[in-house]
Amino acid sequence: METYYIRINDVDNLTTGASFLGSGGGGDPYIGGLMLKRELKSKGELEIIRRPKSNKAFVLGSAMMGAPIVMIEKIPSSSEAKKALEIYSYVMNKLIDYITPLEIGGVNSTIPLITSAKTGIPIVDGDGMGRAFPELQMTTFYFYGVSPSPMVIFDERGNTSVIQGIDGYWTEKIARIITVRFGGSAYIALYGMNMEDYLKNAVLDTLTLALEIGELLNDKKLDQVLDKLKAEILFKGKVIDVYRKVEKGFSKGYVVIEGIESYYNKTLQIDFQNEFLIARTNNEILVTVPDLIVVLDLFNQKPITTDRLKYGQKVIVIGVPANEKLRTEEALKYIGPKAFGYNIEYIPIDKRL
Amino acid sequence: MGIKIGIDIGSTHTDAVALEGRSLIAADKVMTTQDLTEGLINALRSIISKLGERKNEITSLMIGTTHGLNALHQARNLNRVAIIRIGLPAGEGIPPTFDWPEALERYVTFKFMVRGGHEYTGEEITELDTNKIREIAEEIKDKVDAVAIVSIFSIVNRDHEIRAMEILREKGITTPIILSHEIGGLGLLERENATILNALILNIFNNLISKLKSVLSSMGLESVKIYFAQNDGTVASEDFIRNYPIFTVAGPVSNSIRGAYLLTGIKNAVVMDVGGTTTNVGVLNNGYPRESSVAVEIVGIRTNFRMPDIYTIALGGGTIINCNKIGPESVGYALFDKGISWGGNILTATDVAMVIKNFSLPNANPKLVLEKYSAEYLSKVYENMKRMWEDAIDLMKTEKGDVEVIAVGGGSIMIPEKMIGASKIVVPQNAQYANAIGATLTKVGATVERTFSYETINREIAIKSLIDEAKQLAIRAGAIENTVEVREIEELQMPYLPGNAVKVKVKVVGEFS
Repeated sequence: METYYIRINDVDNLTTGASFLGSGGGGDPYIGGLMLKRELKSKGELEIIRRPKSNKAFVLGSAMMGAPIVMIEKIPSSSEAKKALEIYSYVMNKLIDYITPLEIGGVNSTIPLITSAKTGIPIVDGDGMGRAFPELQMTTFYFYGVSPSPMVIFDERGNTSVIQGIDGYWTEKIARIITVRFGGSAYIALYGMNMEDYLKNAVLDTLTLALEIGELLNDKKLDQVLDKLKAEILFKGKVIDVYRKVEKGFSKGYVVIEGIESYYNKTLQIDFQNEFLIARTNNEILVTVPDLIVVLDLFNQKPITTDRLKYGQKVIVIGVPANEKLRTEEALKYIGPKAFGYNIEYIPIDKRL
Repeated sequence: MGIKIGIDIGSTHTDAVALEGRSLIAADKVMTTQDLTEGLINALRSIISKLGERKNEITSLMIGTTHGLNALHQARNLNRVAIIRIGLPAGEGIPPTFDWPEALERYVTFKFMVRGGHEYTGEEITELDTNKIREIAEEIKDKVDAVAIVSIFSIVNRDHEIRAMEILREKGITTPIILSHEIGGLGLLERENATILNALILNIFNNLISKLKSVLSSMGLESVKIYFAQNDGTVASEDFIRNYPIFTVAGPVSNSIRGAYLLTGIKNAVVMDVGGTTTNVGVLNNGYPRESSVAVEIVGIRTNFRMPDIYTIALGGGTIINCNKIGPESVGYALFDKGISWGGNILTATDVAMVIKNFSLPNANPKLVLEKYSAEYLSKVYENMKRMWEDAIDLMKTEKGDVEVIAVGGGSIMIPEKMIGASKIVVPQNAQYANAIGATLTKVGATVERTFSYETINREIAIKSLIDEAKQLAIRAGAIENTVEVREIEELQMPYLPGNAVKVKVKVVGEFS
């Protein structure tokens, strides 16, 4: 069983890497990063299990759900996600052997680690997205047959609800309404499965990946990030237009970037809905979801989230091939361009460019 | 009409002006001193003596200063502060001052977390734990100089902050108590940090104000009113700043942007304040500095109060040019000894600009520059300087197309007559005093930011209540009641939240007496 340890000095690398994999969304992991630092300050280190051997072990997902904008004001007590886990264990009469993140992009890269530190239950190195997506059913677990239900949803006061949805969409819809009633942020335990299913369905080794990407970016070694991810630079330029509107609770819009250097005289448009979805020039689609579109500040190479885009920023845009588990027919039904309302076929970035 | 005195403390010079109406009747520059107060008082005495007999016509004194920032940098003579955060069971995950530098953190001698706080809708998270507040009062009595109170979503509902203050008062706490909803906007940690920073520097400003008053009274000027420049380009009275000194930390920067407007009448423009070591680039938005939308760090601490959106480049009059490399080092105020045109041996940005733009300064001889460097080399350097300024303009404007550019500050004479991105470049008369003039001629202002759910409160009623609140604040800051008017209303939808959740910001300004 391969393991490694996360210490307080790794947290900034983790959050930078998680912002990168957030593909413009997932929320700013600043608050989560501080909470994790606090845990590691007293605990010293946290063990991450890379390849658990026991097929029958029980794995459970741990996450925050809701509006990151609420979380920056109503900061968690940091025990909520742990309580959700304990209630799941009690209600389902199950011992939880391992914790898994649901997504590795943004704030939810840190919450499961805090849960692990609080409970002593080890965390496995993987997640259900390999990036960030806005909804509960958008995980590889769900695409390949694992149900998010039963799901426990918990707030800082102690209010609890157990949801048994008939499918992923219903689970998402019900949980969303409860989250709002809880004040816009809630903490969840869901996607219980055995280790055999987990290893088959999860996007593996993504905590390590986030740490490695973050370390390279913080050292300004972008070339090595590109090599590692088989990623491509799509564009370099200046933001000349940002359009945003709030629609059905999502922040939708697009950004237009005017080329510099070898991209001079070209423009790139990226559509977003929390995350970046489609990158295209005038007559050519370059990358679509689920492949990752990442926008970095040209100078400090830090990821820029969709809500921080503004006129004049000099940026570098990167396309990253998604994990193969996000590219199958089953997966594309939920996270391909059509699932987000675009009448565009998904062609992998490695075939387009 | 009366005479107004404006003083602006910069990193190398402290500028003072006297204005009658809008005309400049006297101006002066003295060296900034290490403790700031001494230089400030030198400037004050000097400008008053220049006025001679007319000193009795002085009605008011406006000051732009970085006293607050300096004190925090040095971490000396600060207040002992207790912070009470209301919001448990939420909020416990990151305790107050968690990521603060140790030198400042040690002044925050008591940290409490108490049950209470609100949701984004304004409902209670839980009831306020009033017993705990009473216990806290016993514990901190006579042990702190100030108390900071922050409650979750107090920008939606401030009841718990106010109730907690009332209890502390009932229990005999007489020190200043600062409530976070009066300091900053959305973001608990950032607002809490700003509130504590404010509490730390209260005494610094009390002392400064006492000193200024005694200087004025020693000159027989007891009735002169004192105002301070605020971060948003307005001023507030000494009484107000005694409680909210943190609003002054970016006053000098905002003053130059305001000054650019007051000297030109151009309401929307990019402003370049060219000093000795840097150029600060800001934006005039309807006559006031555009505010930053992201968290601003002060002495390594994240805050979220209203700060001007400023981009600084290391290019000023004293910037050292070395083998095609421009800066970032600068000779600063030693320009007039070390610059080549003054017989020194360091090539500075001013030397280059004098040759290329064909102007001269007192005691300077630009020909000395051409004896050492070829015209070709100098014009190449100047081209590169121009490109640095052009890039900064490009970064600060918010849309396509050219913008008007106003150049102010001592180094504004170096700015090219044409730049890419600029439709017009204006260097107003008295540009070198823009900051002090900005402080003198501006208005009293107040800004309030709250979030509402328009499903639970009618939009018109919500905005009206906010305007009333901002007006009251402006009056407390020294504005004459019937002159206060709304200058800006900004509504921002909050994504992910239902109930039509919006953040509303209202800014009002008024004349001072």
